[in-house]
Amino acid sequence: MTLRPLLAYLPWQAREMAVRGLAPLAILLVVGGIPTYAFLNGQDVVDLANNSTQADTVKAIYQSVASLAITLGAFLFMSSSVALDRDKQHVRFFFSRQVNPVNYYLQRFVVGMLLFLALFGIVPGAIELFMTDVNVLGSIGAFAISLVLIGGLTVLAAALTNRDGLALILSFVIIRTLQQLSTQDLLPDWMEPVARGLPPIETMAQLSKALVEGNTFQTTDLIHVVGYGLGLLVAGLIVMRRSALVR
Amino acid sequence: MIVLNNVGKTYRTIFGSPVRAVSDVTLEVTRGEVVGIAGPNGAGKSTLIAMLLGLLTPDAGEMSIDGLSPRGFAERSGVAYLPELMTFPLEWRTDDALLRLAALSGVPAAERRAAVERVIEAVGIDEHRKKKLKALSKGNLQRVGLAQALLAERDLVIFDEPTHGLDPVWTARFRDIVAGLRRPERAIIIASHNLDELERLCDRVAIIDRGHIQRIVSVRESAGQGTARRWRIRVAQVPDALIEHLPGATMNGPDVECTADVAALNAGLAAAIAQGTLIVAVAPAESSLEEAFRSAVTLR
Repeated sequence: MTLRPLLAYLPWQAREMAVRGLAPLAILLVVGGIPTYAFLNGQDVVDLANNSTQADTVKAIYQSVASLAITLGAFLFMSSSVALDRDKQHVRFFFSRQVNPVNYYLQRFVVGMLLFLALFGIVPGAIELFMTDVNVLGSIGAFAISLVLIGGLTVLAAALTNRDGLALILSFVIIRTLQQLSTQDLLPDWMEPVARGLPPIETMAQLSKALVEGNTFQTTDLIHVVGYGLGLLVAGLIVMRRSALVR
Repeated sequence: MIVLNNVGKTYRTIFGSPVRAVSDVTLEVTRGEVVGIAGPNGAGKSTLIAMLLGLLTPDAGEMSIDGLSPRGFAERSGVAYLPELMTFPLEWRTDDALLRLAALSGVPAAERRAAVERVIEAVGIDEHRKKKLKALSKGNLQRVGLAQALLAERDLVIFDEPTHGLDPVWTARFRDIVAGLRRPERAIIIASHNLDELERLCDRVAIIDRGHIQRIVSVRESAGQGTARRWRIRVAQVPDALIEHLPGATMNGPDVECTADVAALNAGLAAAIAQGTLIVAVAPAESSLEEAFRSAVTLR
């Protein structure tokens, strides 16, 4: 087995992932752009750099939209790839060739993640450049951790089921609800370890918010989220390697 | 090259009840052979092919290609594979689809364009090269499927219902292409409903039904054997002499039909011709494969 065919295929994978990244980017632009436009409409935007009220409002809009857009974007970007290939039988074309499916999807994950970060980095970068100070690196960091955890969860869901999107949404909602109840001490004692042992979605959301807003965060939370995400990714790839590619 | 030893595969329904798709399949395919797989719908052909590609794992028996697991073989050497249905992402453009699959097939960058041009010419899709796949007819899509399978030289070729959707001209052309693919080092497997096609192309045909291989017919050997079979003879004039010399012969419309071995047939024909019978054509009433298929497959 050689990696040469897979590396040669990289430009096509990158193109596909870039196209995939446009939808979440559009969501971020629309959801954040409309209130920003409504707020700035009729105001002198040239003065934004010298107008702290305007600047703070734009920043607040960005921060409130970014966390939601990051999570939603990671969902849209990562879901329905492995399962879609299987459902639509594309796997028959890809994996009758000299291609290891694990390498194929790992390469797509990495390429996709880098492209997603580059695409999503444009928004805070443009706001920083043309409007007001936002935490560009923190925003990119928030994108990255969301992608790792949600991406890892997606790959595992896709390896286990034929409907990774549905599995992802269900697990995300259930886990986040449990973990929010846990932070409010509303869970029965016996469920506390369960909530803590599940993928740290609530921690990811808090960490993501802190990164976007430039606040301090616990390094242990970062390690927990990234480590869990990578663990899920590896588990997903192992399951994929051991299970059937068509069902 | 390919060894299947009591291979089985059982699926589970959503309620957990087992559905046996393939059971106790034993088959060997050597390099240089063209082997057909014939069977009715739901016989297990697709499951068998998915296992040969390593996309499914058997849950019983052993299976190897060149001593490797099918998945290991595909990842090491690649398989030229034409699936029954062209399930490409339909937003792909024809030439770009072939170019990307050539890259994924390991064709070096410098040779990729030439490989694509070669297969486009071979399957006659030049006028469709810039079209999106969703704009192609079923037959043209099938030709693109054939083209992608021919992008790289492979020791194992698997065609699943290869002439599905092709018009008669391209069905004939496909046979020429397959004939040209024969190599001493290559094994070719063709799964098809079309027995005539299998009989023309294959050395042996495995007839599969209800997950079992019911019979393996050696097509080349069976043609011209001494066993009696049914013949259809078209006669221009004096059919009575033919009926007289071929025991059991009857008129069926414009044809005379009889059951005889090759020697008895020739003797009867010679005697009838000597009495003035003019023969237009002699052909088996049904092919040996068709006969074998009928007797092997349970009608449902």
